[in-house]
Amino acid sequence: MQESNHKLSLKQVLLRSLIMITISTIVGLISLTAGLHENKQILATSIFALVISATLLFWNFRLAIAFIGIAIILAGNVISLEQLISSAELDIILFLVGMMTLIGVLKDLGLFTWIIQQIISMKRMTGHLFIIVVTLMSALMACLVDEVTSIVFMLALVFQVCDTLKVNPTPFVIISVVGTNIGSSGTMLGNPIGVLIGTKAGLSFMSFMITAFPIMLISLLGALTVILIWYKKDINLLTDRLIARRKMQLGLGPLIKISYQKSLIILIVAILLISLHHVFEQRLGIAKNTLLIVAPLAISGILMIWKNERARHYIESEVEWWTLLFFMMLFAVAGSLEKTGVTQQIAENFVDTFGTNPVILTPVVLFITAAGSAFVDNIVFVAAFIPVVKEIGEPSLWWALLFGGCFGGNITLIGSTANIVAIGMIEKRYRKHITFKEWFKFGIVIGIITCIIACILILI
Amino acid sequence: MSIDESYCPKLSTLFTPENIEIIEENRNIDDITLKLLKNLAVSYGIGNVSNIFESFCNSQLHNNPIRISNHTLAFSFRLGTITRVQLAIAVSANGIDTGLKEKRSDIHVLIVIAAPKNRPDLSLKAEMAVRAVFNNKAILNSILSCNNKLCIWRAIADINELLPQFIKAGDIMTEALHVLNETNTLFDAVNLFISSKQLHIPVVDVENELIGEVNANELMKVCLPRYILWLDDIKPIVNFEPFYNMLEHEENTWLTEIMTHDIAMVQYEDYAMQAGIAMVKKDVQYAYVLNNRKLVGIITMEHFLNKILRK
Repeated sequence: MQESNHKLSLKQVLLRSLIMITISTIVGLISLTAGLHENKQILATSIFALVISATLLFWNFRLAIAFIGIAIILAGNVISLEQLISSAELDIILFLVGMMTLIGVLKDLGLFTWIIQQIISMKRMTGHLFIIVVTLMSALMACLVDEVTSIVFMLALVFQVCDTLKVNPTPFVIISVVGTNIGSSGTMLGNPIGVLIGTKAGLSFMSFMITAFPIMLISLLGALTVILIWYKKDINLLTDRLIARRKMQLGLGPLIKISYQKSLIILIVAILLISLHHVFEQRLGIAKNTLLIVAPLAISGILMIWKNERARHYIESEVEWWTLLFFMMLFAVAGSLEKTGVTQQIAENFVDTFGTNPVILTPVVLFITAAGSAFVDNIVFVAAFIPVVKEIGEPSLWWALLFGGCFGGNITLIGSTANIVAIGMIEKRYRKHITFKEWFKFGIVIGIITCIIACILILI
Repeated sequence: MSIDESYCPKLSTLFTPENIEIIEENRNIDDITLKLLKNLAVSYGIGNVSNIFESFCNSQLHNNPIRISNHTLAFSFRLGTITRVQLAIAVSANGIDTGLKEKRSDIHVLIVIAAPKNRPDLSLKAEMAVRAVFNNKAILNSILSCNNKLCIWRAIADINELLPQFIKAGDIMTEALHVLNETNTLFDAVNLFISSKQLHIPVVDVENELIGEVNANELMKVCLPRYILWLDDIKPIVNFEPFYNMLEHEENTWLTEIMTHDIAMVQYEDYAMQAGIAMVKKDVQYAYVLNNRKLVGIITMEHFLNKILRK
């Protein structure tokens, strides 16, 4: 479970450590039967299992355990320092740094404040309309910025409305998270796995727009239908309260005049540059996806010069260094699997078991990734699967990986970073805990339905 | 006094007839207090009386005796030198000169409660038992009619008053002076925040049942929601714009707008300690005391700490 480890007793820490080491050892032993015989291969596989179990059992210590894992890999001569650096995917990390800085500036400039004000000032708002707006906005914002930013600012809207109308925020939080997770698969920007898959598969922003975005949109509509039926009672209550409030001529929150134009222009320019990266790269003869990485960095650089008094704040507070360092370590550990030939062996075994028919492989990859992402950070699963998919070489599997990783996040309350952020926010604000069961009974339905839709659409 | 938690001694076992002083001449409250402390020192060895009395005179307690009843005052001493709670009682039929606002003839009994420093419960329990005895006018009259110490001791012993097993929340609460009604508006709440200088006010219904609390923090949160706090440039709100809407409608806005139900509450009969726990759990500085659902008082953190750590 990815809950806070601050409150763990010594007994729990010891027990979980034992489980983690046991899992790692068992995986190492199993790898012997899977055709891996070299010591380096077994060590790399065991360390990868250790990092996966750390995200499951010691969420707050995952970076520390990843550091230790890297140290063992280097000390055990599994990979060299040069190989470690090349596996750490610095390009993806830089892309994420650029995007996080950009989002920090946009938040400061009032773009998100303006968007929330636009929604709460909507005339004739009803419960149904609110749900549609929240779901679509969550998805759209996840597409344009990233899942964490999207959920933070969408929940600010949800809390504002629920607090003002005195309704239980839990269903609306879950709805917003579902929208965010689904939306995060729509573009390369939505989820770190998007940019990881994009760079590894050589897919451009436009490839995502052509393939992933429509699939995301149709899956979202499927999810929205389920949401409107599942939460009918809560939505009707919201409608009643909205009508009552309107009768009293009271709004849903204070409205202020914000000059949002600058921030909107910055966002549009950034999205345009990112979306047209492939065109520019071809014209300028630059390597594929170089401008994709450069664009957010360049824009952030310019913005940091403009807002130089806040530049340090953007880098120190808006960039999630903890998460990014974990990603780097994780990519390096996953890279060690590739460098030692483990992934080739797994790919061979995978093909032996499931064959090469994409009609079988696509749902297998999609549902395995979804089930794994429901319990472990999706990037861990995707990072592990990428070399395997690369070896198999079937293009549809990249999309299966993307949608499995994003949609699987909806299944449990620990399925994605957005879920964990949302739970943290609701706990902090309302001292309220969403139970695993409460989330799961809705999450599993949404997860299965959206995965089936995505699977069918990928194969079509 | 190292008693078992379930063991409740009789009040009369906390002193002997020797610890009773009958005051006939005109003596002021300080002289009598000193006399009672000396009495306890002789009987039980409570330590250096001069030092105890000097630090008492320099403390806040000196001018704030515990009002047991209309005719009885008490001083509670927390002493590191003793392990048992002991009482010394001064009785004056003519009245004691308190130097306070009371008339000389009003106060007839002064009690010194000496309790171990590390056992706040003992001094509070003794205070509760003393209160039960001396609040009874008939008992007080019978004590005042006694002409010797043994008679007074017997008058108290015959009542068989026991020290309570624990201190209840109701024992240490104070009255909730400012209360809003559910029919009040935001306008009334803001007025009361300002006039009472109190930033958290309980809200009750017509049957005096507590339904929530309005507090200034919630008011500020309503006017400055998170989405406005994201702004780095506060130029759009330098003229207090987020308050405009609230001010425009405050007279027809229900208190529910700024009402919170996440408050610390204890029942009147609960352990007093429960109030401390409730305050820490809810991260607030006060707990409301209820009798079933009716609001009967409030325990502030300041009052709680003063009672437990100092008084």
